[in-house]
Amino acid sequence: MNKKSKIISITILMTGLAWIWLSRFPVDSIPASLVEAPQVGFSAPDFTLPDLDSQEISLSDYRGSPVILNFWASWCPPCKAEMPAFQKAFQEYAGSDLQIIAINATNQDSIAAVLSFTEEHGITIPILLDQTGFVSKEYLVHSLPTTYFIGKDGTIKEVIIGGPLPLSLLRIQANGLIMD
Amino acid sequence: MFPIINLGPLSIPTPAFLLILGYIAGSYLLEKKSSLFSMASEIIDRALWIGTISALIGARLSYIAGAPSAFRGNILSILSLNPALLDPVGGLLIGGAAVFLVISKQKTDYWLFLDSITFFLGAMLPAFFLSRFSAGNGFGIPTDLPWGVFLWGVERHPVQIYLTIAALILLIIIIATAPIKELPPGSTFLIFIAATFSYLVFLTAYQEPSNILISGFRSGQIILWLLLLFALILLNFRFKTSITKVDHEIEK
Repeated sequence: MNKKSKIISITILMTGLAWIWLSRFPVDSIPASLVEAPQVGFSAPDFTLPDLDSQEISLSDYRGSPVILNFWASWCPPCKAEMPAFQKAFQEYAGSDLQIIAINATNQDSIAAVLSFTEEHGITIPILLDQTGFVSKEYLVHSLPTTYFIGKDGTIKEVIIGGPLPLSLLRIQANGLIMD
Repeated sequence: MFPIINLGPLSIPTPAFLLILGYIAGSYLLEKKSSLFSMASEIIDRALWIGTISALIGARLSYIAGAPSAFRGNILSILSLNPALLDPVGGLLIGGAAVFLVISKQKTDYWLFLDSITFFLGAMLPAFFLSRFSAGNGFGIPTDLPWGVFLWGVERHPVQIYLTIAALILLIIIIATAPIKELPPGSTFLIFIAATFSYLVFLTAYQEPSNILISGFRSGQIILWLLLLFALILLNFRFKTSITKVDHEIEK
């Protein structure tokens, strides 16, 4: 039994080693970080959206800075619950190059409701209006809120679906992005 | 990829839902099959519950320990229900340690206990791979094969589906064959672990690598091979000690 099991074990191990050698990753493959997709490890898809002052803002404007991208709507309770934490983080990291952007799913919301919410809660985070829902679709936002954490090189480092996200989590993620 | 199941106003995170299903299936199998290894189901139940609760608390504590200053002025977020504030590795270590303590206290044979929980692990693994598939994680390398799935811009190997099928086949084999009377305690668990690492070494070759070493070697595959080596050494050691034990008994 012991001898037989030893032979089987050695065969498995040698086959494994041969497979590791044979299945080496081609060194000329395109790394995922160069392909745009809303997934960890890929480059964050670029977009251009108007803010509340009708100024056009593109994600690529922030290339070189870490970005936290939060998809939200004023009717969504967890989005509303986490917005003060985002505002606090926005103030805490004002001196750093970290950018916090909130993309409102305006195709399912109204600008009046957005303005009323931001005024009522003193929200000063840049808010972009996704009026056609194109960016939400591009980022495969299935549920609100959804938050993307993007590194300085434009690569998505983390995606968190759902909320509310506490300030502590935002701090940990923000520090990670800044130090990366 | 289907990360969320939307049922009216309810949004259910599919990965978490699948893991819960796996946990329920695993607990059911554990309860049904533990007697095969002469294990009292109460001991298994206690170990499972204490292990699960300790793992959850441990995962949160480990996450906090990683950056305690982030919780300054926001202490209540320690109790947040958000699973993003969990450290899975810390949770597994603390949960495992808690199970070890429960088993030590009951003076139960560790190898028999490990054999029993093989059924639980066997049911959890397919659920784990499916949950990764639903979240779009651990995706495959591009392929032209007809069963490729369109994900992140190209047709890719549905590698998590391959892994799910492999894990289900292994679970069926374990259910049908365990325990093999001629083998010493611990063999069911170690054979299961070795078989799991074997198919992982093979199938992760179809996964988009997260870390590449020089000359295109995948670090994940090398780590899995080392774990396979460790499992096989342990298995052979179990066989050897059981044969020596039998020889001693015959001599007596």
